[in-house]
Amino acid sequence: MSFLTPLYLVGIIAVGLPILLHLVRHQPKNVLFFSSLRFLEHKPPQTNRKNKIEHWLLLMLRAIAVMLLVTAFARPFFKNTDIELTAADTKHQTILLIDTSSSMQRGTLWKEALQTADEIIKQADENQIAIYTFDSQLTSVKPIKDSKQDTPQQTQQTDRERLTKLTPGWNATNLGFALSEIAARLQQQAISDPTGTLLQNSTIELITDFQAGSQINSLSEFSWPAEVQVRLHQLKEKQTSNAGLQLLALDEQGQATVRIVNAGDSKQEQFQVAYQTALSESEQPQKIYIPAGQSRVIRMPAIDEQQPATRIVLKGDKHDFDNNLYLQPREQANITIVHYGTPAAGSTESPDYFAKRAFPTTPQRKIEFLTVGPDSPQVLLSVAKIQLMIVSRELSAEETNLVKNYLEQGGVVLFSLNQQQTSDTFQLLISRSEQNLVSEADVNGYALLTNIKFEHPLFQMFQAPEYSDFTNLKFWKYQRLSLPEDVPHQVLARFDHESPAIVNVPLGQGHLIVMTFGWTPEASQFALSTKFVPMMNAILALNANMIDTPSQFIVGETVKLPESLKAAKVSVPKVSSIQLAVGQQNFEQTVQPGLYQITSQDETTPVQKFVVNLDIEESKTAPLAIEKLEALGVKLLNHNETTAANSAPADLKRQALIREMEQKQKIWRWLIIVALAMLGLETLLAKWIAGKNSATRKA
Amino acid sequence: MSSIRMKQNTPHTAPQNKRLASQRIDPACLMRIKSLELRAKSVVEGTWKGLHRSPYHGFSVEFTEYREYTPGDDPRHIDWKLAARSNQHFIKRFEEETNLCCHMLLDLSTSMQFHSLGYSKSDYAKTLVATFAYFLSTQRDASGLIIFDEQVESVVPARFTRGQLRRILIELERPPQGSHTNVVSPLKHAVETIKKRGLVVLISDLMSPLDELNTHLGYLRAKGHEVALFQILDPAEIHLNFNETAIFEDLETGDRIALNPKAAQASYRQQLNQHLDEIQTICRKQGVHYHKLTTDTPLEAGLSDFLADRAA
Repeated sequence: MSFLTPLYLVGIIAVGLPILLHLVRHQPKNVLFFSSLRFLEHKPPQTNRKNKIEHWLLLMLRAIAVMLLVTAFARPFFKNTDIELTAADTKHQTILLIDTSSSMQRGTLWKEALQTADEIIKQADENQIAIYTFDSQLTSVKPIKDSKQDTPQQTQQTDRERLTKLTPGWNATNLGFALSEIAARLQQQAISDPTGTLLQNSTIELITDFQAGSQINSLSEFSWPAEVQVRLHQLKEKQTSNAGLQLLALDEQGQATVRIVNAGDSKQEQFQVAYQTALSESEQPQKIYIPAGQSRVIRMPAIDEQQPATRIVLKGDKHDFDNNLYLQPREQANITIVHYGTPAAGSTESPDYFAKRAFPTTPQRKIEFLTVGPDSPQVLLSVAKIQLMIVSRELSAEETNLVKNYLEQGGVVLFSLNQQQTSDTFQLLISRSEQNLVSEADVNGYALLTNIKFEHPLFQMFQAPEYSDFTNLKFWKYQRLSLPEDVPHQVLARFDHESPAIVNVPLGQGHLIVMTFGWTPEASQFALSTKFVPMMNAILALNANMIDTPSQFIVGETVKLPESLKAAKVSVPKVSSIQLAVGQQNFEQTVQPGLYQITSQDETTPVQKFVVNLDIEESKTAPLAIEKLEALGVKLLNHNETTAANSAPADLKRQALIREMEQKQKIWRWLIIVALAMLGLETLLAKWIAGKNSATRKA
Repeated sequence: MSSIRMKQNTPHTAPQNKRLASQRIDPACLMRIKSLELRAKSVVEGTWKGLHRSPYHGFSVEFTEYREYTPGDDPRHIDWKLAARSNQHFIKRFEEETNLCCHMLLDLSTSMQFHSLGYSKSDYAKTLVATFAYFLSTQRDASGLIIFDEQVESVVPARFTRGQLRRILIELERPPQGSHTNVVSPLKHAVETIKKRGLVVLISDLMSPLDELNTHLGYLRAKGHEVALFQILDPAEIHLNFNETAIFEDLETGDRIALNPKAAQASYRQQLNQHLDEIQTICRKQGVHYHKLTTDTPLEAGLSDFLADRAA
């Protein structure tokens, strides 16, 4: 055990005081007022040596209390060998944190940033330097752990080289995340150092334009370590104006709704917005007035269908890094539905009549409905392009194989067991040859649907009570299906005679939806009911490839890729295309704004197109007040100020270290508490003894 | 003839007094009553009631209160109403003439502030005075009060009026001024001012020197007064039964001595007894009724003893 102020230990002499007090017998303290002393002779109390120390326990308690107090004043602490090591090896650590967000592309900001970083590296001298860049993410150029290598000269040289390789990207700024992440890493590093010297010796040199859109509010959820200090190098652009664009909506007609944000320090207030196609620019730009620090929402005219615009351009703004807004109108999806049915033009007796009408073409989708009859000429169909197959007739062996193959690849097949003949095809599809798997049901009057699984996507839309009434749907005839248990299947609805009505049989990667009835008016009321069209489209939507993917993203966002994509590549603006790995689900390299196209290897036309735009927050380039950071708890250092730990000479540092160590351990508190407890005990004991001895009271 | 003596002469007094001795009020309980008047009432009308079943008895009897007119008597004193009824002439007796005149000399020096029972000797003495005054007022006797310490502090001349008891109580309730005891000055004052013969009751702890006590008591007696001396003492003063070693401070002089009471007890008792004997000798010599009352003695007992003593 060591002591911070060992001189106080001299006070241990005071322990003699209680002993002295116990040995020296004083005049009695209690005074009795008596009526007259005339008859009293002065007889002083006896002081026998034997009686001098009467209460050993009291004496002991008092002596211990004095000793504890003296020790507490001497401020004891336990020395730690680790601490000695760290104390001997205390070097200052600089964490260079450089903003590489897109707003740093403005004017000479990046040049200034590099110069500042260079100076910091120079000044850091022998100090250890870690280099990080940040935008929406924190990127380590030279992590904290690696900052203890090489000679200082070598290190400086390498660090400078590293700096030259850096460029500002297109991401938004998330300063709050970057700072809290760095602070957390420093804390992690300092776990082995209980004195906190490592933290104290760390300075974060933050080089940023510290713009309004820096997203520092997340710091409010982070408890900033008191030891870590930040020196902010706020870079300022001479030409302060800036405005940016944000796409709010792009409707089906191609009309864009755009928000234009003018930065708080802008001097420019008049702007023009225009479409720009791949070839030319719109001749009629839209004029707009936006005061500094405000934003306006405008609706652009419809895009010319002949020459679709690729972006919207903002004019009148000096900093053009955020003046382009890329557009990708949602493309009309081509959907192919194949119906193996009996074509009968205009006849309501044919299932094809209703099936065809259940899938109308809309602006979002273009339906190609192919009816393949038993006698139809052979059509070459690429299985990959078919979104839904409907089977309502008996299939030939070849067709059955085709359907099977389609199912294996993840397709969706709607199979209508509308007649006894189709049952053979069905059994072939599920590869079963048992007798009596399908038989004609004996319907007395009509049958109704019960036990409907409303949670299945097929019935989900009917879940609300106003739509869940299926009692108007009558079935005159149906097939009794008894699937063996070893065939995995899910009964989605039953007839009131408990025979399955709609069954989902997963086959391969696909789904075989079996309806044990026909939808023509001859067999049931299904095709004429309001449930028919929604349910048919719900079956179409079961196809995994039908999942609607958005086409507008922000830099840094992850794009979800369609499942069916195989061996595809993505063409990225200004970069050669990126090859996607097989089975890759996400595309994360949305590093810069522009149009991205995903192309399958065997296709020339892109499977999916999407655009990536800048985050609108980056356009809010007005500089923030430094106090904002301080208000969030970040400890800021002035430019000329050095950290206390750095400026102090070695002895002082050591002293400071010892003081910190002592302050952290705070053993003196416990000593004082124990001393107080001793004194309390002493008081109680003394009172008890006094009460026991004195029967008389003070007069 | 004093009314007190007259009533004590009733034959049933002694056995009743004995019977009530067990029912006497504990002084500690009595002292908890704040009002002096109530205390006095409690003593007189509560426990003492049996002793004086009818305090007005002596006044209601016709023949004891009237005497026949003899020539030479002032005709103004003839009770004409009685003359009209009985056709005899009787002279109505003056109250002053017939009643006792009692002067109480109360010592309220600082030594009387001593207490070991929760109430001081002065509290006890005041209650004693108040009881006397109340008792006398019920008997239609005149009472007066002289409060003293080093000198005479206040005087309530002896009267029998309605407000006399109240005046005495007010005087008693006045906060004590307090200094040391000088018994001589009130005795001197009594000798000089009390013209009518009567009873003089001195109430004090008499912890002061007794140099001139004998002389002045002699003067009083020479003037024909009946004198009674109540010495009020605290039990602790008699026994000096303190366990703890302490500094003893004289209440009157402020002198201090450190003392082991156990060691000093024997010598103290001896000296005190000597002092008390001296007082008793003086009293016996001067024909003074001497009563030593410790503050734990029920008041009625003290009074009964006194009355019995007078009756003897």
